[in-house]
Amino acid sequence: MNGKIVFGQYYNSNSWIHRLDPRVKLASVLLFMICLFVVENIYCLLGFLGFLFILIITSKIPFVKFLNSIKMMTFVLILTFILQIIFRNDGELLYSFNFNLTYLAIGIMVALLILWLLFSKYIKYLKNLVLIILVASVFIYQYYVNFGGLITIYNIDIYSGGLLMGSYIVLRIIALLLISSLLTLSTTPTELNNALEKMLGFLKVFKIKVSILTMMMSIALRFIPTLINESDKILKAQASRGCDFNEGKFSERIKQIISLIVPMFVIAYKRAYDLADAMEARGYVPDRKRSSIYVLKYRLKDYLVYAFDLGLIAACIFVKVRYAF
Amino acid sequence: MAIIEVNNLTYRYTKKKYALKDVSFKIERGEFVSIVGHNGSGKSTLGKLLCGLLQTKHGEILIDGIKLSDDTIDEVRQKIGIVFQNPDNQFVGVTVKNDIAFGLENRNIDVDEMEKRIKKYATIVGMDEFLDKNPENLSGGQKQRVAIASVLAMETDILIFDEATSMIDPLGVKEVTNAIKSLKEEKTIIYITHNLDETLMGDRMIVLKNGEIVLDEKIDNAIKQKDILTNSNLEPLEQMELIELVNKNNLNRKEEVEKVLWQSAYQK
Amino acid sequence: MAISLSKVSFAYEKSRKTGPLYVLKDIDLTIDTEKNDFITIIGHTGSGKSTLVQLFNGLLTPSSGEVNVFNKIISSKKKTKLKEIRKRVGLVFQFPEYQLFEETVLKDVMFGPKNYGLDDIENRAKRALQSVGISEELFNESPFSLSGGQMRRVAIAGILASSPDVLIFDEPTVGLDPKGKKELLDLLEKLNKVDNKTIIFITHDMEVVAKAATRVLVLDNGNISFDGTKDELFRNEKIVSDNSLILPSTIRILKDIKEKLNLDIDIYKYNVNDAYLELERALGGQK
Repeated sequence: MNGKIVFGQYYNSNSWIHRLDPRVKLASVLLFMICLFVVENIYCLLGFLGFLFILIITSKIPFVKFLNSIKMMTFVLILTFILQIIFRNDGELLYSFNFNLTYLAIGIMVALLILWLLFSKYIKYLKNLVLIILVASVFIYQYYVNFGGLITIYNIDIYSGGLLMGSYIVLRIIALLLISSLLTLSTTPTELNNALEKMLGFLKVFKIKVSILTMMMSIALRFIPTLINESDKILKAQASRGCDFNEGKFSERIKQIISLIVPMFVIAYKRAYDLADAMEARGYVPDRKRSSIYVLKYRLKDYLVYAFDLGLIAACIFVKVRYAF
Repeated sequence: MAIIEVNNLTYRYTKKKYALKDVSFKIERGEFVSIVGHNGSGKSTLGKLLCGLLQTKHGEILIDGIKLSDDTIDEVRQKIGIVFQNPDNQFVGVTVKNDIAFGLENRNIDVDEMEKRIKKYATIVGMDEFLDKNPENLSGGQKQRVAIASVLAMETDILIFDEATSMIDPLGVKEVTNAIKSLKEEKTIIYITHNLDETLMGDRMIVLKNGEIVLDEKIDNAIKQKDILTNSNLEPLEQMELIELVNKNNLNRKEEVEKVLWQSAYQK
Repeated sequence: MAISLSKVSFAYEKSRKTGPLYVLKDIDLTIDTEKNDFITIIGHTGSGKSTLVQLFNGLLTPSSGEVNVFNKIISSKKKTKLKEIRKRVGLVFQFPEYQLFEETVLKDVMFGPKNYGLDDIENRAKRALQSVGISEELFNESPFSLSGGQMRRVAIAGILASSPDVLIFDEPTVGLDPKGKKELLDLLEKLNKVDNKTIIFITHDMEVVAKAATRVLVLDNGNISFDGTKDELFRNEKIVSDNSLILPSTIRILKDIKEKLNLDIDIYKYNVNDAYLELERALGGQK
């Protein structure tokens, strides 16, 4: 009894988005993503973002949930932005910075790197912010200080094209994150799985056994919480035998990890074996035609969303073609 | 015609060790037969053979007149359902409703019929208020009741319970055995266990020891065979031990005492 | 020297709306290891039994209050070296599959003593295996090739090898057949009486309580609702009915006879022989 483990990030509320047919949601999200790549116009992108915010507000899901998914990607976002600024040089030149690369500067950089590697685990809060400040201070130093054995002077030029492209790409990634979070927050894993089974039915033509794949998915969804509980018990059983996962030599640590993995496999295997018997006894034959207790039925609003999707993709193509010529 | 007929059934997992050795018996329609034995006596193997989860060339099994084989297995499974020991490992669905539906989906039954049966059998085992719950939120006894509903929903004539109460707490055991008792009228039941007090629910008892049948009798007679039961590594009921002591020592009012002891054995 | 809990509560953090979910509330409890008790803990599923015993060896830390294990204090306020505590208070989980992992039985039993940095680990392991009744020819077998009962014994030896003073068992008899159950109980009684280990035993099985317990704790909804001998427990009708405990079979049988035949019987007998003797006495002997 270890609290309740919830798999996936589903947030329970009763908005119109929650009530949409999962097939519609899945299709619309895919379409939306395609549109994001088709359109290379920052104003359209801002339009998309605005539209997304309306969706998020009407989904009745707290905005913090969305921020969490963006937070995980902060580093990637910043890196992309900086790389774009440094390497793109179209448009007009906005700023040009000269940096003095000195032996002293290299020394400082190496020292900071070592310090970071040694002490970063002790920084509890705002770790990323500290890192950014450190990196920034290295460049500020090189900008102002030119003694200490000058090797070369290099410059970073910021062009309007780079700035535009950088923010464009960052916004696009944010939009992708938001729309996929909206899907997973408003749809249970089971619903998604059912939608996938229905939508991927056409793959049968290529001899891909969709029903088996989705059955595997749904069993995974069913058993992941159980196996998490089991792993907690294994951890405790080995801790009772003096297994301490925070100390010991490398070889001992390997042994300790094995002492967790082996029981995990044994238990998972035993469960799988029992489950296979139970499924077979209840008449499961892989890939035979089965009915489904989940009836997915389109309603008016689902058709409306589909119609909207079509309009959206048409508009995107139109914009794309107009601006290409 | 017997609904189950087993003739000279032999099964072994490895070359040397026999799980079942030349086992034969018949079960009539509507009977409630307990199969008891120690761990490794072959009782669970027998259960799996009966519903075709294991197969052997040595000996034959006839279910409702159909000889069990690869070709008939689908047909046989429409007549026989099994509830296993571990409540967690047979819960296939993500919710109670989903789990009861699983077997019906396999039979390609249409949605309206499914909904009807789910409601009906969940009510029979008293789980109708839990249809949308997932297994993490259920007790062992509740999960086993769902397992029973799942099997009942397939409307088979024969039900096998393979140590269905051995991993749940006493309250759960009571819930489950009560559910099973209520099915006695309509179904042919095979109840596999190592607890002799649970065999009193049934009409007849088959005792297995190291893969062989050592006792097959009406329950009243079987439960008294203290020596055979002890020799088979089972624990005779205290009531029967007392009856034996009372009779051996020729106590005052021994008939009355014996009557009360029999009643007390059946009470549970 | 003892395990003692003062004002111990344990809660799982739930969402801010519902507040913490209490599993144990304000528990005060002392277990004196000098007394060599065989303690059984009973209570419904979800009454907090497993949580309670996991506090005894620091697998869980109390949300508030203090757990004192052999003068080492476990509380949410400070960090304690848990390894020494766990060496003295061993916990065996329900299924041996949770802990067995080595290639051979002997190596698996040596895992504990090795982790605790003890000396002479091979002999320790051998002694432990012998005392749980695993014979020498099995020492080099894979633990996964053993029978269910043997696996449980090896798992117990794996804890025993570090010579703890207290042994905790979380429902070890579930799924065993009558013979396996009896053998396991005999083993635990031997460890208790011969090797002077304090045994703490979580169970649902009243026959186990009737056979072996010298002290019984009843947990009800996160509180200890009873603490005393088994005799006191079974004679306390209120506790028995409040917790819907099932009386051991000999008591139930004698109760039936007493009521139906209107005899003056002391129904609190814990085995068939005592029950018979009492019956003989009440009936005024033989014909």
